[in-house]
Amino acid sequence: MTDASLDMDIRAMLAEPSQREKGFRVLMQRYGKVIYWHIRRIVVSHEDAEDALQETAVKIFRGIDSYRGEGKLTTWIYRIATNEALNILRKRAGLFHSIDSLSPQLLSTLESQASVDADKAVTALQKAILSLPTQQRIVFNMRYYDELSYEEIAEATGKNIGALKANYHYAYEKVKKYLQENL
Amino acid sequence: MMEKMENISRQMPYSESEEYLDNLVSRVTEKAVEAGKKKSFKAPLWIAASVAAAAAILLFVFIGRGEEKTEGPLDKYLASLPDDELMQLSSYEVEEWEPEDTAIMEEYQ
Repeated sequence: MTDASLDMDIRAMLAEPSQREKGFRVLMQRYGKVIYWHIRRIVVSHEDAEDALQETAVKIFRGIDSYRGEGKLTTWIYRIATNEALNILRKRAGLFHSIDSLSPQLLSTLESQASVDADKAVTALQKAILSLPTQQRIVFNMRYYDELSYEEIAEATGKNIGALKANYHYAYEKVKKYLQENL
Repeated sequence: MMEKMENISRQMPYSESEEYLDNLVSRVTEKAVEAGKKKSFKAPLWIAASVAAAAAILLFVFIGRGEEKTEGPLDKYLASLPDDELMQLSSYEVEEWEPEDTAIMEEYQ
């Protein structure tokens, strides 16, 4: 079964009240790990990623009624997951600090949770990404790792495509420069 | 030696295995279904509580009205009057007496 036809099946199940729970389970099987990694790349800590994943799953299940099948299923899921991940960072930053100020804390979490066997270049790439402002970081991750189109990222984040392209371009250049200097 | 970004693996540098994450996703899914069902169970309870409160208010209002309808001798008398007399009674105004008027009344007595 192709990804597109599986998505269509999930949408059909979500639209049918008697099939919603089954549809949700299939959706989580299909996208659960994708959501986890998307969140983990934003919050870095595994414990925070688990909490945000749980909240995302609850919101998806409760929000099935509000999902009317307009727009892609994936972008709806990414929107919820991104918001939950950002909520965790907002709580960490507190009322008087921006979430961009969490960069050193996120770097230290990366260092403590990265596997000792991890490739040095892979870890360096993560460090480079963590040096980016949050918005650029999210756009970079969605484009580079999740390979979403700008249209999909725009739908998931509510930002316009021009701004997203600029964000990705700046992020890419900064990451490249960081790797040139640190590898 | 500088490594090109395109050549770096897109894997993440963490140790969580696929199996661990599959279990995590299953656990999270079950909890979400449970939480979703709790919410849908709570909704009818909330509706039932609202209906009960509305019924109690209506009952209270009707009992109050019932009490108002209790008739005394004056009500019976007013009910027996024809409409034109009732109109006269309702348009009758009691004039307030000024102190001087009281003095005149005393003169007459």
